[in-house]
Amino acid sequence: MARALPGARFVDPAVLQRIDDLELVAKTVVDGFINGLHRSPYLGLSLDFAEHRAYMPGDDIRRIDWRLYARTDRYHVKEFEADTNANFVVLLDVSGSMVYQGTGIAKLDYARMLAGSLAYFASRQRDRVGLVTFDDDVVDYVPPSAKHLEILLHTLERAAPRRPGSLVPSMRKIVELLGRRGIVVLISDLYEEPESVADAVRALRYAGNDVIVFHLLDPTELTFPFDAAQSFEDLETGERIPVVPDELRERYREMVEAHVSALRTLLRADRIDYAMFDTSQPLDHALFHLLSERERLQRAGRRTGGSA
Amino acid sequence: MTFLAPLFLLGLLAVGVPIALHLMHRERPHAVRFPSLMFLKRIPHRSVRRRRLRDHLLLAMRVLALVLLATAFARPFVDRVPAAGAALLPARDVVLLIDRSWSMGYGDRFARALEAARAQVDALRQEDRAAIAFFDERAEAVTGQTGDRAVLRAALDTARVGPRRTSYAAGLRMAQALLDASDRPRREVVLISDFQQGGWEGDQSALLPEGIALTTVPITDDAPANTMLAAVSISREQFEGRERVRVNARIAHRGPDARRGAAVLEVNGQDVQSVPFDVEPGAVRDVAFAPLTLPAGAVRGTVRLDADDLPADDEYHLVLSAARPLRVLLLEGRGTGAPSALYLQRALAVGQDPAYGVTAVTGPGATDLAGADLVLLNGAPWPTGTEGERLDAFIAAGGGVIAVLGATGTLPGWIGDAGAPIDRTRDGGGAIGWAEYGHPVLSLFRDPRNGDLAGARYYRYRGVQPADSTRVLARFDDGGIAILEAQRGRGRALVLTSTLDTWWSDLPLQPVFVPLLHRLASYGAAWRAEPPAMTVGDALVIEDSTLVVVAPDGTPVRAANGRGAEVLRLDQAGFYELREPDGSGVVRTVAANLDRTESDLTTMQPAALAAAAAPASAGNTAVRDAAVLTIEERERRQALWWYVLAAAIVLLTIESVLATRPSRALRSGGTP
Repeated sequence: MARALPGARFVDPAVLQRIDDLELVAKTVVDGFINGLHRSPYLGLSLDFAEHRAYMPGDDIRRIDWRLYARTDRYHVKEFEADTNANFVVLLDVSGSMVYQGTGIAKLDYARMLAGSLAYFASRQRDRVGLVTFDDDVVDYVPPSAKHLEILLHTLERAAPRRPGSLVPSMRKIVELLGRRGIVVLISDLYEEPESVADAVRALRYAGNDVIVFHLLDPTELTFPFDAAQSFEDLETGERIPVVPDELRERYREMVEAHVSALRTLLRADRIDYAMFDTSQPLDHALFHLLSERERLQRAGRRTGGSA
Repeated sequence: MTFLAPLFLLGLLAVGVPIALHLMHRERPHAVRFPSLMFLKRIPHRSVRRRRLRDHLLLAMRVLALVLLATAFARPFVDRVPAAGAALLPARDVVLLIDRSWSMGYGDRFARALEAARAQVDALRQEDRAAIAFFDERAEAVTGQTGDRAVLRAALDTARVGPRRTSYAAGLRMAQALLDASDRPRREVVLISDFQQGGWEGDQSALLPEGIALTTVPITDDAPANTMLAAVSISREQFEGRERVRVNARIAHRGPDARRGAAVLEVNGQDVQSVPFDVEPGAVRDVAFAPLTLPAGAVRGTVRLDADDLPADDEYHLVLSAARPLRVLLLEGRGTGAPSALYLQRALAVGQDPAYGVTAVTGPGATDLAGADLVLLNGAPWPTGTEGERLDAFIAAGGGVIAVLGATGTLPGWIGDAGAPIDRTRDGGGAIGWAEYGHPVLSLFRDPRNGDLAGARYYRYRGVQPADSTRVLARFDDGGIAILEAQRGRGRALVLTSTLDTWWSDLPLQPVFVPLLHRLASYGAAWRAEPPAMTVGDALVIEDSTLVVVAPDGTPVRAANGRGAEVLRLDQAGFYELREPDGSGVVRTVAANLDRTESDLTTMQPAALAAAAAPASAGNTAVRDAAVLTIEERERRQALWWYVLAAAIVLLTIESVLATRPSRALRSGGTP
């Protein structure tokens, strides 16, 4: 995906980590992302469609709605609503496993920057942004509001892992918290069985939300490059087991791939967007993925007559 | 291999450090904190054993590296070049010294010894030379120094166990003689033996000189058992006027278990008696056969036991024959003052070995002298005229005369002049003041326990002016002669200046009287008891050199000496026969037995013998080797530490790579 965006300014997350101000991080990421979209076919797209208007000379012909022309035999141009007042809520996993730091930055730090950037981006789209941090329960909740970006960023900055995580009970509570439908972005390392994850996220989906799942992992969680035979300790439970990485590396990788594959299959079966990131990837990838996913959802919504 | 700086070996104590660290760090306290063990727990981890194995590999490498470092700093030095480096050494001369004493006949010892010798021959390098010498009590070089392996092997193929006892000194002297002619820098003696303790008596003349190395190859058995006939003797007794002989055997047993069997007496090839016996380990048992009445002439007797692993000492040969008395012609003095022969005759009558046959005559007739061994003149004047000449001829032919002077005895001129009696009654009598105890007659009384010659009192004795050729054996305390000896031809005359009755002395009442008289008679008659058996290695004196000697194996042998009496060294166990020159009649039979001291299979430590026989061997060999080595070779021998150090460095490098591999992998795996 990253290579499909020539000219985009990707910033190494490790560099972004040096910026103390999360808002500045989000601004840097989002502004760079938008500037990089100049030659993008998605230029001028807002999150929410507003209306069609008659084509006027000077309009970009790429904005002509060819489907409408096919039905009406008239040129119309798509107009997007500048402020749709959609709820954009980030669900951030702050369980113990998120504190893991392999070879780059910690997953939680990456998730903070990602959540901040997404919120900032959505705020620029005049969406109402909200935040829920959770482990096995809801830790912090910032209700969606057009004015809550600063609170959201502040909450993100002080988010700290405390307990083991569990998606199912926490998602149920979050569904109760989120009264109005909106866009829900879940950022988590998803260390649960794929069926449990799907069940938990499905509750959000069934509540009418458009759900995007960002599966966040450290590169060492994917490749398991350890060599020394020693004990491994679970960050959440504290349990230890002796491990010889040489012996089980391949098996581990297979299991992780199977896990990711199962998640992708299950979630997409429920029309839930799923993307797996590792903490070495630039944050822009997540924003691009968000936009492309929104486009896909809108097209699907128009086909089914639904609204975003 | 030795070390030039052995104190550095204390560094080996550092080996404990990695072991302690390994034990402390076997369970790493800092575990890897991982987000979730969800996947890891699903994989069966049989990893603990593997991990320990790898840890052990690291530990072994670390320990080995430390050992190598300490060894390298200790500067190992090769003083005995191993086989791989033997090619660097100069050529050597080797003497294979093989024990062939009859104790090597125990079981398969000799075969094993020959096999060991063949192995030594096979181990010789192309440029080496070797000589083979067998030894027992004597040594025999069967080859000279040669590099021809075929000659050496042929010499070994024909070897047999000998009949003599062990003498390491004889073998070592032979080896030394063989190596003396060698001009090679490396000389070595390989001693292959059963290392009997009795074979080494610390003979200084057998010590190997500097530069000759001694290598020992022991051929021994664990807990050898041996029953032997330690000794066989005969005792004589009279029964109904005839002499009977009783054979007594002493059986000794060494071994872990008791031995039970039968001793068989064989006479002239026929088994005549069998006596059962049982003997405990380390004990001896005396077995007495029933008395035998012997036929005329010499009878061959053999005592035999059931054969064991060492059969050579299970037989004992002896010649049984009737005793021959020592024949004495007694001439007594006549007239006033002549001594009495009572005590003299009584003393001779109790003699057993030999027995004395006393015949009293008035003058030495030719017939009398022909059948006599000794003429005893008890106060009788020395015969003159024809009788005197006859007596002189008797002495010259080997006969003996004892002249007891008394008041009436006289002496011939070649002995001396018998003067007037010396009266010692006024001072309580004289005593023997000096005696030549080295003389065969008086040697018995050197030990005070055997009687005191000075205990007797002599009240009168004749003063004698001895001839120049005579020898005074004892003097009285006033310097007067008590016993005088004069040689004439092959015979001798002994003169006693007092009497052998109680008139002039109390000697007959003293305990020394009987043994002294027997000694005088035996010596005077040159009596030599015929032993029932001799020992292999003894010299057999053959009076008549014309006789033919037939060895026990039937081969005729000749003594080397062709002049008069000959001496033959007995080389075989069994019966030697001395036959007439034409080989017809057997004149004399001699039994020869193996030396029983060889039956004691007690061994000594080969290292002890090597240290005693070649005290300077190891050091001097090394010095000598070093002296002839080139500088490059000496450096090569000391350069071992370079290789050890290099090995340690390589080992430490590998260990570092293995020990740090996880962290490198982690770094490289950070960006998938």
